[in-house]
Amino acid sequence: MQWMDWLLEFEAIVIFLGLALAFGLALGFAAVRFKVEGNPVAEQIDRELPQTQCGQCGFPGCKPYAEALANGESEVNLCVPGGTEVMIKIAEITGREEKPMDDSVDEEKPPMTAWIDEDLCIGCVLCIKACPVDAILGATKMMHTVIQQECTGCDLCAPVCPVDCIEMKPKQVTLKNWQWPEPQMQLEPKPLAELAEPAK
Amino acid sequence: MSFLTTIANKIAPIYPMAKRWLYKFHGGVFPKYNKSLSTRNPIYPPLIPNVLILPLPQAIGEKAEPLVKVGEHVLKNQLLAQADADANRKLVVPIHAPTSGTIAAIEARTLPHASGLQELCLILQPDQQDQAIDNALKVDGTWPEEPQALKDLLVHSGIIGMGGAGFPTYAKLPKQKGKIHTLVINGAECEPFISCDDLLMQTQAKSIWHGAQITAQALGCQKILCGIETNKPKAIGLMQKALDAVQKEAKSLPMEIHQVATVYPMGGQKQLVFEVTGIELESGGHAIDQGLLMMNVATLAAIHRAVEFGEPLTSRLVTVSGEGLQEGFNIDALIGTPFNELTAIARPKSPIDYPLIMGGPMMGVRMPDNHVPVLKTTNCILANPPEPREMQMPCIRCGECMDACPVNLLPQQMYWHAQGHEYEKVEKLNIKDCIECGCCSYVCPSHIPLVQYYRHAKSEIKALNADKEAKEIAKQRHEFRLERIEREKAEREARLKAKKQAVKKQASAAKTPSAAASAAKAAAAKAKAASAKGNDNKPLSAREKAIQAAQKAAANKQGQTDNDKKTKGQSIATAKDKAIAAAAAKKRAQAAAAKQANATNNELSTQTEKTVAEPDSQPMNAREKAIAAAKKRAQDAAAKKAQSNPKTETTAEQQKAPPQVEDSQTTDLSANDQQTSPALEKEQARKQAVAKAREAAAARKKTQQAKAQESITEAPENASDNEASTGIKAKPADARQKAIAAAKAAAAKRAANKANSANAQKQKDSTE
Amino acid sequence: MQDYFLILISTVLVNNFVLVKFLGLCPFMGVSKKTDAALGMGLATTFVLTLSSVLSYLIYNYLLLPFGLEFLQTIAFILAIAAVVGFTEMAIHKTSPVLYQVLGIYLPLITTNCAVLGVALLNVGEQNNFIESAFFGMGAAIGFTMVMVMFASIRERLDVADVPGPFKGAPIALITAGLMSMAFMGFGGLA
Repeated sequence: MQWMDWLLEFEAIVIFLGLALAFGLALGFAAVRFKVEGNPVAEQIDRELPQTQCGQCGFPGCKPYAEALANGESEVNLCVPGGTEVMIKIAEITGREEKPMDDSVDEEKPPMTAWIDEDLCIGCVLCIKACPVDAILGATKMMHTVIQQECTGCDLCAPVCPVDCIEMKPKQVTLKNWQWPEPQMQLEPKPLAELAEPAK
Repeated sequence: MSFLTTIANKIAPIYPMAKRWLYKFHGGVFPKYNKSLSTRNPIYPPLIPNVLILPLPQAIGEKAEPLVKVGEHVLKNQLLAQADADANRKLVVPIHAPTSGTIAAIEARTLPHASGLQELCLILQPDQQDQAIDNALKVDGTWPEEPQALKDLLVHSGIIGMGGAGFPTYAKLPKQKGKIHTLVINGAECEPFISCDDLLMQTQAKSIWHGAQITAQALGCQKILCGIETNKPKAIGLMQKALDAVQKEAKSLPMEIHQVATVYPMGGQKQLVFEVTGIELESGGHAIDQGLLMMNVATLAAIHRAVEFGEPLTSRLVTVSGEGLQEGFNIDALIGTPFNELTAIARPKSPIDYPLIMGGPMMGVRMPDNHVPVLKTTNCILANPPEPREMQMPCIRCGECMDACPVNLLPQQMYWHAQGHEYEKVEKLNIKDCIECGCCSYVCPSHIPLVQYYRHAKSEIKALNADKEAKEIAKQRHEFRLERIEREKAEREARLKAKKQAVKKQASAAKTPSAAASAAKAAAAKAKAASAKGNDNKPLSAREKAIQAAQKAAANKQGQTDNDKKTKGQSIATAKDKAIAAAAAKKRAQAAAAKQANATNNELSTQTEKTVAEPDSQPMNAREKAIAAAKKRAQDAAAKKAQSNPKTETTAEQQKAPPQVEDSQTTDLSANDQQTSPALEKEQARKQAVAKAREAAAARKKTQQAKAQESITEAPENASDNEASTGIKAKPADARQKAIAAAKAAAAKRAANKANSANAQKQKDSTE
Repeated sequence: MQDYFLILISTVLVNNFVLVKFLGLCPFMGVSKKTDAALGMGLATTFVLTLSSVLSYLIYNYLLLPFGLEFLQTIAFILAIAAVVGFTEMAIHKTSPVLYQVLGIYLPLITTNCAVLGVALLNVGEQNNFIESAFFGMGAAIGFTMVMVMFASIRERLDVADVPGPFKGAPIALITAGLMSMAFMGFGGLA
């Protein structure tokens, strides 16, 4: 029983090792039990992205970019159409530092949609192939047109057009999508309600 | 109650909020009403303005489709525009001519809307005759018994909620009878300055009660309650008188008038319903779901006119009032009358160079232009000259707005979040329940335009939600597209694989001793496949054609041997003809050789002949006939040669050679005739064949491309895609066969050339 | 029973770990920008605190005391806390990946949260029995969570308020924390 005595000499070490072993086992079990499959963060980022599928981030669509972000393989400031707003959201989700957008990105671009000059269109179907959301309608040697409601304004169709008949136009303001302007401090005229008081 | 009223009124000068004890709902404010500005004058006589502007889009819903052309003369009450398809779905309201006249234009005009946007309007030039179509809605005066009957009538009458929201009345009514137990008549009219409902109740009380009875009867309501504010004693008296008269005429369901406290915003749906029935309407729910229906007095009067006399809604009572006018009045204005024409006759104190307000001072909106038309929802045109405005100060969180809010919201919190662009939080604070009454702005000691913030936040939330939806759709479409591309790729690969396998099979078959037989087999297989794919007609006809061609060839051979040389001479004039002839001859020679060599494979060889003949048979003409004669000769020669040279039959490679030898001989013959170099001709022929093959390949490529494109554009129907592609395949099958044949010929030719030179050497050797 | 209730009251309000004892200030300042995150952090800490106080009690009384190894208590407690935090981290990652992202670095930092180790050591110091130490840990955690959520709500409102320029950001947050601490002084003498 020589080794038993020896062990008792170092009981602190033994007990500590035992503790560590027990906790290690527990954690090991937890690691197996709570194994995370897939990447839910990617889906959350994907929900924030503007879904224009424009590829300006260098990825072939919004989802691949979201996945790259979730895996920490990409910068947070690559989404051009989303702008600073989306960048901040991405930074929030991924818990990374916010980064300013590239200088080349002009801020506050109004939402655009593509328009095809139907007199110039030669029916080459190149834009149809380029459109990431199938928003262009047409057939070979037939005039093409853009389904305005579906167009995300990704600008992918304009460069491929051989006759330059595609133009990006800001979305039309109608009674349906018109927005009340935000009141400006000081500049705003007096609230109408006060006019109820007669002038003295 | 009256005791409380007297106490409240006594305390009010010291403590104005004592008035809040007099009603049930929370909040509310007590502005100065200024109603006498317009009620002191009688209703202005009808006025037909110089021009009427009738906007095609209504307050809610889509644009109506115009039914009239520019220059057309129309009568009063004539239908000018209506829904193009399903009116119910799009909430479109028809537009009727308010008076007779001509349509001067259909053009974009500024709308009476805060946005100042321009939309298409019908411009009606009145002829001042006011010729009307009587009973334009074709009613017989009986009251509808079923909700649907009333709804159908209202769809054509153009009646919308005239209190302010402008929701189409037919869409507001429930479909099943008995769902509504109480009909509430809104005669509160709580906004300052406005008095049109007051005047309407004074002048058309009976019509209002009848309208209510019509609606209640059709919907199966149990009672009718009318809420009128206490500051309209005249209207209350006249309404009561009319009510007694109506009830004396015929027995009807219980109807009564509720006098409600004078407080802003008593005329709100939730507030008046709570006050009159004691039922609090749910947030976000419809009043209809709780068995309640509220209608404005003007709407009910319009319903009565439509049901009783078939009159569509073409005019309404409008209050023209304001600090800037000397003589405010009410007028039964035609829909489409420009604002400035009405204010002009109210003797403005100073020229109106400031924006008019549509609606009251609390909820109204400034017009971008004073030449905008009266709409069906326009209850007031207000001319209040601009005053020096109070400076907006920071929020001091006093909570006055919260006390004043009639819908129990937290205006201050909503303001802070709206200001900080945290719209999600604003949404969480139930901004959708905000009725934009303006009470909060009215009481704010810091003069913050709170309602403007809420309006902005509301439209921002709407835009955000629309954006989210659009995003979701874009994502789905993109994912679908990726899936489709993937699927197409897989399909293409599968097709390619199948083709490769077929080619491999062919190649392995070609390795068997008799190449001719294998070729024949392949041809047979192809023919079979073709017949299996398409109808049996096509190959049959092709076969027939081939037989005919063969027969003709035979006839040529017998009868036209004499003309042979002459026609040949003509044909040789162009190198191309010659080349074609040579190529064709070669093919024939090949076939013939095969025949000779393999007597047992007779049937198959005839089939090869057919397949070869098929492409040729179509452009068959006189020249071809001559060529055919040449072919026959070549065949004969080949046969002879084949018999004399049994050695060549042993291997496949050598088997191809004899016809070529023969070929060279025939060309030699022709060379003798025409004294041209045989080598040159051969070269030309080969070039032609290659060119032909290239052309064929290009054609095939094109058809494939077209097919691919077609399949891309037709992508969504994935089920039919396969069928379509096979259909497309069937079409260019002929072209492809031709191309294949041409390519084969070219390949044979090349091989022949090699063999030829070799053979020539051999022959030389042997002769030597 | 009354004792346990008293323990709860005293740890939640009177001796609030954050505002009175100034323990666990790191997540208090770090994860209080959003109410949701603060609540998540609070709940995670509650879980860790309760479990680790129980565990440390067991370790101390049944392992260290019998063998006379009191000198090991700090390192043993840290080991237990680290294990519980690791477990919590995995559980949160699995059940609420968003919260996992939001908590970020602060989640593993619970390991070195002085409130957690403080509770374990105070338990030993005050010679609480098993149930008492469980209540002690839970009370501390509830107090922590409550203060976190309150502070986060205030900060959310501060975000949209007109804060004078020099006070924007951290200064106003610290001032707020100070004012809250003053408010909690009012609980002194309650129990």
